[in-house]
Amino acid sequence: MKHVIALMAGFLAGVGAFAALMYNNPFSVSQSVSPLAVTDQRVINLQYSAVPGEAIMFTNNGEAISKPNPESVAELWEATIRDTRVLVAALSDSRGNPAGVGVKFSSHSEDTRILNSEAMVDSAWHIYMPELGTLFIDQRENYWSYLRDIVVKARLNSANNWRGNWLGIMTTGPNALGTGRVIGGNGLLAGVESEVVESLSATAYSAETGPVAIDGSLTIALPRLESSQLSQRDRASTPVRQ
Amino acid sequence: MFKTFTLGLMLGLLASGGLLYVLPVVDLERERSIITVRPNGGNQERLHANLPDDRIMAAVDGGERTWPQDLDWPDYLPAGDGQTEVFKLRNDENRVVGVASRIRSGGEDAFIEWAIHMPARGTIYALLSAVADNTGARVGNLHAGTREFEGQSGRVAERFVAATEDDGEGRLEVVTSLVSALEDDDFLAGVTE
Repeated sequence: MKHVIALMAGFLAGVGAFAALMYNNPFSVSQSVSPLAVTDQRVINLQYSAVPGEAIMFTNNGEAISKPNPESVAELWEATIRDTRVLVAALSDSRGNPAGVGVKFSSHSEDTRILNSEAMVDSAWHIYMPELGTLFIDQRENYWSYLRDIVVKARLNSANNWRGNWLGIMTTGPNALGTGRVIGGNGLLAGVESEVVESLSATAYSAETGPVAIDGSLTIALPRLESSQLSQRDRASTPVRQ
Repeated sequence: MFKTFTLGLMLGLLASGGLLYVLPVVDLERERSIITVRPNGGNQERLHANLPDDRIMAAVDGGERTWPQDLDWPDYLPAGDGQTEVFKLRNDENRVVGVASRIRSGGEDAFIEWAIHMPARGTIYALLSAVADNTGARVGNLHAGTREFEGQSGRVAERFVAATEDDGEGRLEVVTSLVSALEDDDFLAGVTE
């Protein structure tokens, strides 16, 4: 009997040790430098609030800690979409001026591999900017570092929250360099094919209500458009890489 | 006792690693794809949204009319006659298979766009004409696809079918007729010779 208890205690200790090893995986590296930092293309930056309560609309299966906004919006409770979240966000340029609206679909990915520190999400953006046109973004994101550095720490904290300064590059594909795919739709962006990187900047998170202060950013490389086709505001706000 | 504990420790480590390796962490539910093969027409799939039940969000007339009614559409967003909607989409068996956004813009360069996201299959991005044809359908093309739809091309059409009874507005149908890209150029050359 003592041996059985010792065996079970050892087994549980082994499971705990494995969980600690996964959490502190020395081979897991958080990406903090955007692959587009060295691009020679024009780069535009679209920013949005990733806090569900500050979005135009956010919905999920209704059982997660982040609640749908507004409260009366339909929830994604059906089996095929219960692992999906829809975010409709107001997008602004790097100067904080309104640029357009974006709809983001994100679903848990079956490519998630905890052993490889991969908490994968398949996501797509459908973006409308009245002055530029429309965009479709296809990307794969890895939320491992976000979960490890923010969510788990918030749950382990006695006050059930996390505060700090965290910046993470979420995009890991589908392009080979770890960037997402951008496809232009209508307007000035028709025919555009380019790359994108999405990042999150967090300062506060609650284990009871979810993100409290988290901003998202889409860094999109675009081919050089004719100067007459861009608004004065856009030309002034986009850094030109020579 | 210590040896037994150590044995248990090793078993715990191996079992945890083995289970995580073998068992899928994420296993998405997928409905069967109801696809009809049309002669020289690709694989056709019909999706629809029952209105108003499947409408998740709508902002019409620049946000002056919204659904749900307590949706706070920012008045600082760039003005325009755009229309942004988000729906749940169902297959021919009336089962929800995905979600979709529909963006419509008016004016001289009016357009309609769909982004249809089916979590277990991928996402379709389609550009449609805002002008309906003689059947009442707005037709366009698959502009981009992800995962299962990557590399495919074909036609996408939307049509609004009004309700015949007093049980709602009707349904918004989206029909895709897609073909995969031919990958083997040598095969194609052999066929044409």
